[in-house]
Formats: sequence, C-alpha cells, structure tokens
Amino acid sequence: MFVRRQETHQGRQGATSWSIRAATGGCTGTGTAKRHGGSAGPPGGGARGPHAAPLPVHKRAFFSFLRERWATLFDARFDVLLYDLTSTCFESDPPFAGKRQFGYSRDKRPDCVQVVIALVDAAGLPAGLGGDVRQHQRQDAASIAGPLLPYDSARPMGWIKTTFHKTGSPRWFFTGARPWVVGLYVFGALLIVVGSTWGLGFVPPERLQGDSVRILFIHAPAAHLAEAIYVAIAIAGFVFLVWRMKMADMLIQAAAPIGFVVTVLALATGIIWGIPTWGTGWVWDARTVSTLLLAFLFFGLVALRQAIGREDRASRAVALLALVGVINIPIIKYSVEWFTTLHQPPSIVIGEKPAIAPVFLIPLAVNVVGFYCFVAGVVIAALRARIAEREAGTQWLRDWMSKS
Amino acid sequence: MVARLDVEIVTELLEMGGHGVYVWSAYALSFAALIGLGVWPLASLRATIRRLKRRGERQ
Repeated sequence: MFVRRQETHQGRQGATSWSIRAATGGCTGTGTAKRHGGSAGPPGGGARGPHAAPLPVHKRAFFSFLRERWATLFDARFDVLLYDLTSTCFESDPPFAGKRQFGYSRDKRPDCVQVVIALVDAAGLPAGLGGDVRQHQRQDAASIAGPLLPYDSARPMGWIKTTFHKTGSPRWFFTGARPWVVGLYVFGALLIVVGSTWGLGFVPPERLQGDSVRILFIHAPAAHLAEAIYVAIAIAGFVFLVWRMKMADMLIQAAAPIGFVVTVLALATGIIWGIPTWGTGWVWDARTVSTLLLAFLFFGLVALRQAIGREDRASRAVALLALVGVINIPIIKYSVEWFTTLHQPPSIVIGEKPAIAPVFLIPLAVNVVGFYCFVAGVVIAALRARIAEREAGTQWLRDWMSKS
Repeated sequence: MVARLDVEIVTELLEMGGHGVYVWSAYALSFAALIGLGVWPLASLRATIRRLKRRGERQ
C-alpha cells in the first residue's frame, strides 16, 4: 500500500492531495483527498488537513484510517499489515545544514536536497521494518536492511561525493561562487597583461618570422582554451545524460557561447598571423578546418537548444551533441601530425624538450595560464547568470536578492 | 636626445619591421574579445536580477 502526498502549485493556491493506492494482489483502489472540499480525507483533517501538523502526531489516526480503508475496500482480513512509504517532495526553505541533505536520489536528482521522513514510534525508532532511514545516502534496499543494522553504522558521505552533490546545487554554487569570479578575473587579467606586454616588448623578433611571432602569445592560448572548453562541455554532457544533473546542463548552456567566441578568436588571430607568414590568410588544411568545425559545434549547441522548444528535450539533445562532437578534439590535436598541413606541428610536447626557445616560452606560459584563469572566471559568471534565470521565483533567490 | 630616443622606440614598437599591422590588430582583437567576454555575463546577471526585482515589486 502506498501513501503518497502530492503538492502541486497552480498559481498561488497549492493543492495538497493524499493518494492511497493498493499495490498488492492485483487490486487497484484509489482514494484521493483534496485539501479543499475533499470528502474522503484522512481523519484528523479539519480545515487545514493533517499535513499541517507533524506526521507522528497523527500517526495513530493515519494507521487506523488506512487499515480501515484497506479492510473495507477489499474485504481483507489480516494479522500483519506491511506498508511502503514512497518519496515525497517538499517546497520549503529551512536552514541549509541539518535535516536537509544531499543524498541518494531514486529520481536521479542529486542536485536536490532531501528530507527523509519516516513513521517512528514513541521512542523514535522507525516503525515497521526498522533499519536506519535517517541516512540520506541510502537506497531503499539499504535502508530496510533490517533491525540488525545498528543505528549509526551508516558511513557518512565522503568529501568527493559531498562536493559532487554540492556542486550540483544551483543555490550552493550561486551564493558561493562570486569570490571565485572576482579572483579569477583579477588574476587572469593580470597574467594576460604581463604576458602580452612581455611578448610585445621584451622578446626578440624570431629569426624567420620576424615580429609576427608575437601573435603566438595570444593565438596558441586561445586555440588551446577553445579545445579545453569543449572538453569541459562534453564532460558536462556526459554527466547530464547519466545523472540528469541540472547544473551540468546549465554549464553547457553557459559555456557554449563563450567557447564560440574563443574559437573564433583563435581562427581570427590565425588568419592574421597567416598573412605575413604563410602568405595567405586561410588555407583549407586539417588544423584550420577542424577548428572551424569546433566553432560550428559551439554554435550548434546554442542553436539546437533554441530550435527545440521543450526545455527537457532540448537539454538532452544538446548534451548528446556535446558528447558526440568530442570526436573532433583528437582530430584537431593530431591533425598536424596525421596530415601534411601548412600548420606547424606542436612545439611543446609533454616529456620532450620544447622546440621553442625559452625566451618565447615564458610569455607564452604566462598567457596560457592567464587565458585559462580569466575565461574560467567568465564561465563561472555566465553560469551564475544562467542559474538566476532558471531559478527565478525560488525563495532562496528572492532572499539573496533582498540581502544584496 | 632622450625625447628622440623615446619616439624611436615607440615607432619601432608600432611598426615591428612591417609586421606591426598584423601584430597589433591581433592583440586589439583579442583584448576586445576578452573584455567583451568578461563584461557579458556580469551584465546579463545584473539585467536578470533587475528584471526579477521589478517583477517582485509589481506583485
């Protein structure tokens, strides 16, 4: 037998309904009690309904009502009645710590905090099957392991899991990430200014390319960053498809236009660099074409979402495209090695001596780190903007706005 | 003497042996793109919050 409470929010009038469903022996009987004007309401209802008071207060009343209903509906006789409680969803905003915790979610929503409810006896021990239902991280199968399970044996979640669940919480991320945005903006901008000044003014001209080599210090960081952003998006796509994590979807949405801009920047600086060194701005070689494809992929992620009207379907399609498109990344990376191209092979290979003079290496490294940091700040800021849009109307965002 | 030297350094830095146009335009483009990227999400968040606050006041 299931007892399920459903809250629906239609406008301002929230309707609460209790549905009682028989789920054994092929019998189906449904009794629904609406908060307003319901006739089959559980005892102790009154004008406010039994849900207005803590559950244990009405435990006895619930038991006798359910037992009665079961017996009369199906003419059942029994000595022991086993029951099952299903998940219940709340919309409320008590303090973050305490009874609300991240944990195992049968509905694949690790981004939502949960409150575990259970019927308990006077001593506070779980009624019925026993076992520890207080621990949020447990599956049903684990939580009804039986009374043999000592109360505090359940291990707390490890920090990796906790971080994963917290990062999945839009509220936690939104309220906590602002210092990161400021820090990464300042640190990244500082490094880019230092690296660029260094590259423009304090590095000798290259023997063959002359001064145009200075474009390297922005072209290479932009190109690497574009690929890194795509890899991040592809990972987010995987996380979204597997765990249905809302934050992963929002990350894709926030990072795709940024990735597009960075890729276009890499292409544009490459074209500008090509004119004096290759004698032509654009060549259809493997590296340039695969990078152009990367720009199209970023654009596609944005366009696809807008083309599909329903949000959940759009999210899934975009995540899938993000995941499939990752095949382009090794193509970009190895395009200069597999194919004969005009684009030079990499000058820096991990584990080998760089084919680039140290004087050029320092400003390049400074700018690479600077680009990564700055754009990481931009992605976090964009993610916060997305969260504010999608979580509009939630209590925590209203609270945050009135405080700030 | 000092002033002439400064002018020479600046000219040399701008011209870069004939490659100045390419180098400087690439850097200008990059900085414009980065500044644009930096400002866009902040402005977008601010706009969203302003819109939500206005909507909250109306209710």
